[in-house]
Amino acid sequence: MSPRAASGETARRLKADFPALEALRARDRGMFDSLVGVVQECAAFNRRHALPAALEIDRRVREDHDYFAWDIAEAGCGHGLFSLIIPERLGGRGGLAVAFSLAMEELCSACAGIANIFGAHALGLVPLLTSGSMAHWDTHLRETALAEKRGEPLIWAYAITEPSAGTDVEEPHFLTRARLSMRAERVKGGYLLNGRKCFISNGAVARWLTLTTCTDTARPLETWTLFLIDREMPGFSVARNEVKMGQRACPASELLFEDVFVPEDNVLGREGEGMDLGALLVLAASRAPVGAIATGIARGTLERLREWAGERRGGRRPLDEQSVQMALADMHIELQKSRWAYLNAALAFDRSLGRVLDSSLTGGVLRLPASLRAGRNWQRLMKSPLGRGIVNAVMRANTTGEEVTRALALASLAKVVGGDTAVQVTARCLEMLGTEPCPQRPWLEKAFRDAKLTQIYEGTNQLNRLTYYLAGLEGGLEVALPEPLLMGVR
Amino acid sequence: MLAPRMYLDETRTALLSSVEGFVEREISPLAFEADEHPEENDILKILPGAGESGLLDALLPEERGGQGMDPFTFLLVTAELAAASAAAAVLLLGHNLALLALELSGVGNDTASGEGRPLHCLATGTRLRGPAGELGGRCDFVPGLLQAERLVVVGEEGRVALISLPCLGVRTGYLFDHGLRAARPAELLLKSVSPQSEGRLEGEGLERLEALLEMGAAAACAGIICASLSAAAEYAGRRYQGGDIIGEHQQVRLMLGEMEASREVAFALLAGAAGFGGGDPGSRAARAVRRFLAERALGCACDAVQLHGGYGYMREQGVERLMRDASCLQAWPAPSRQLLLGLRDMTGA
Ligand SMILES: Cc1cc2nc3c(=O)[nH]c(=O)nc-3n(C[C@H](O)[C@H](O)[C@H](O)COP(=O)(O)OP(=O)(O)OC[C@H]3O[C@@H](n4cnc5c(N)ncnc54)[C@H](O)[C@@H]3O)c2cc1C
Repeated sequence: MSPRAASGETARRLKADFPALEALRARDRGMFDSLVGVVQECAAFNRRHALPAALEIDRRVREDHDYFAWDIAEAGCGHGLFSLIIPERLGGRGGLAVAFSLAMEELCSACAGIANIFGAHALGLVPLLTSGSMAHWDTHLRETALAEKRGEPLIWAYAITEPSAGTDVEEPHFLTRARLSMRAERVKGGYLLNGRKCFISNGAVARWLTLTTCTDTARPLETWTLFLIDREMPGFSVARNEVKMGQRACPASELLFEDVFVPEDNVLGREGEGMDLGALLVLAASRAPVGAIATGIARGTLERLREWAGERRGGRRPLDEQSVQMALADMHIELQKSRWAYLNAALAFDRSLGRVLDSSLTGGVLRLPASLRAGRNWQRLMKSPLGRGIVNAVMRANTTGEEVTRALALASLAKVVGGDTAVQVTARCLEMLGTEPCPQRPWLEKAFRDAKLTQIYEGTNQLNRLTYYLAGLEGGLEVALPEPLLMGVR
Repeated sequence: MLAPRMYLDETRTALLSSVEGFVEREISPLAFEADEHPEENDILKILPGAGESGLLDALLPEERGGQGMDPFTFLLVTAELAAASAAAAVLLLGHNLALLALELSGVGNDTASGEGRPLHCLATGTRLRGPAGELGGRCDFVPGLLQAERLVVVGEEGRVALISLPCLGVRTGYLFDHGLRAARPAELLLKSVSPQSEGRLEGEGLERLEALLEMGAAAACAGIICASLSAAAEYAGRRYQGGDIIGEHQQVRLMLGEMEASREVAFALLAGAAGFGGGDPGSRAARAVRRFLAERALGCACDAVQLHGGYGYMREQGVERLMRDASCLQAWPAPSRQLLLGLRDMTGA
């Protein structure tokens, strides 16, 4: 298929699956076209790299759980998968939650494990963007985009989970009662980090990490703080890679911090803002894409089941049977619900916090010459309380805590709907296949294993239901935007 | 012991507690590794112990040197085994039903009795072709095919063949690598095979065999439900989150309650369909029960993983295996859709 025809085909598919995007297209043709471009790029990556390698990587990691397919990560560079959400002026593709979600659905229709390398990478970048830490944009974001252009993956990870605190670090009420094992101790010029983070996707291969921890275990919520970590920092090590049920291409690791000195400059936002800046804002951005991951897994499975059902056996095709047609219809209905749920949530995010990134002020700053922004004076200003205050004011001028809370509620909803759909669809498809040996079987079995994770990470689906209740129905959870003028510890 | 007390008389209690001891000593310690590295066939290490516990000839009549176990007791034993390893349960299920098929069809089987019995595997629903001595056909999914010394093939029309393995013309096709891994299920391909002996299962015998296979799979599902519940309850009692052990949170209690209910229902259904009061299971009820319990087993296994949070997704925790095994038992011995459509036919409507 020629690139033009492929683009037309992708556009037709997006319009059919997402009527809401079709409506947006009337107002913003450019945005729609760029989404088509992103999805097409992902589809090309799938065809050329993910599909031929997915089963083999899955098998290899089962045998050697320290194996990481650097070649597939390198291949991702050629398709811009490491810079999907980096602003264009910093060398990226400038996508927000909608673009990222569509990319995840497409990538996961081939292999959720491979897709999660790019997904967890983007998750690691999100706190840098949502905290408005512009001082680091020119250094870290630009460097990430540049490395990608050189074909060298510069991978990120996001680390909040601790061995004894998973659900607790994603919900403010629970954090107050959490049994935390990690902490950052204030020392001259920065902090000393000690403790462990666990299950960190990309943790073993990431160059940079965004991480939350407290500075006082007696007051975890009030002192929860977002840090930028460089894996080269002395005292940082990977304790082990987990041996997982699925999504094996993307390692999940336990990370050990032994007196890791983190300079003051690497605090993103301000000390004490970690729950809102480092968790809730991030989850508002990232849970819709997790819904999309789940949707992609379900979609890939259904595509393969249709392929299987369309083949003749003994002169008959399962597809001609009404029971199979009904089952397919049922499962596609669930698939569409997940799609609309994640698109809604992603749009809500892009219309709230996303507007900050797209605002004229942010755009204006990014239009300044890079050399100026990299200069000492600018860096010093952006890292100063005044600079942070300005960024916070820009944030507040463009969105409200209420809007972001709504986006968080919708994102939790999308994550629940998607995760539950993926688990149900993959199980049902596998059951329909029965015990028949066929080429589709290993894909369906892998999808079944991959799907389960979407009910667990980014908060279990139970926690997400609670978040939806609190943030969406009851008003018991509100995301606070950082104060424009407040300085120091809250 | 997993089964509720109401189903246990003195004899059953004695038998099941000895099986429980065997499971704890010999199956549980190797269940994880046997799933991780099925190619090492560690699961076969349970055979001598299984023989000592009377599990290698459980269904054969006493006068033929067997245990003469009634169907319901056999199902309780199967559930007990499956709670530790569904693959081990399915392996022994296939073995015992293979011997029963030979017995019912009058095919001679010149093996030693008791502990010395070689492992048999069972291929049912096979489309067998060709005259005696020229047997052809295939069967999708045969647990134990790569491990057994003898293969018993039961054709769709009740034709029964006993084949010593390895045997010219018997090949394995697709190797299944998802659930029940320790039993190394594989596709069986037969071409111009000369069986050691052949016979035929008449209508009632065939129905009895099929019913017992379905019920055995249902009992394995009950075992998975029990294993899910006990793993989840144990974890919920020690994981602290949200200001308390998670077992104190209503959401978690609801999930555990659902598993508890599934467990109660599982045994009630097994008892009902296996003719608790006496008699053999009927194949209609057997299929209905297997379908229902397979769904519940997958639901409970999935919830057990969920209750373990991220730890549940890690292989070493052992609960994700329950999910994979349960997903196999949704499709084997027959996929649900086929089974439901078949049930309607059996009603004669
Ligand atoms: C493969 C994988 C990759 C991951 N990647 C990352 C990553 O990149 N970065 C990162 O920071 N984390 C990551 N995680 C961690 C993930 O987000 C957590 O596993 C998840 O939030 C659940 O936490 P937990 O595992 O501690 O479970 P727990 O919080 O211990 O939960 C156990 C069970 O208890 C329930 N529960 C807990 N608290 C309550 C309550 N108060 N009320 C009712 N029920 C409750 C839960 O719903 C769950 O069913 C990953 C996890 C996995 C498995």
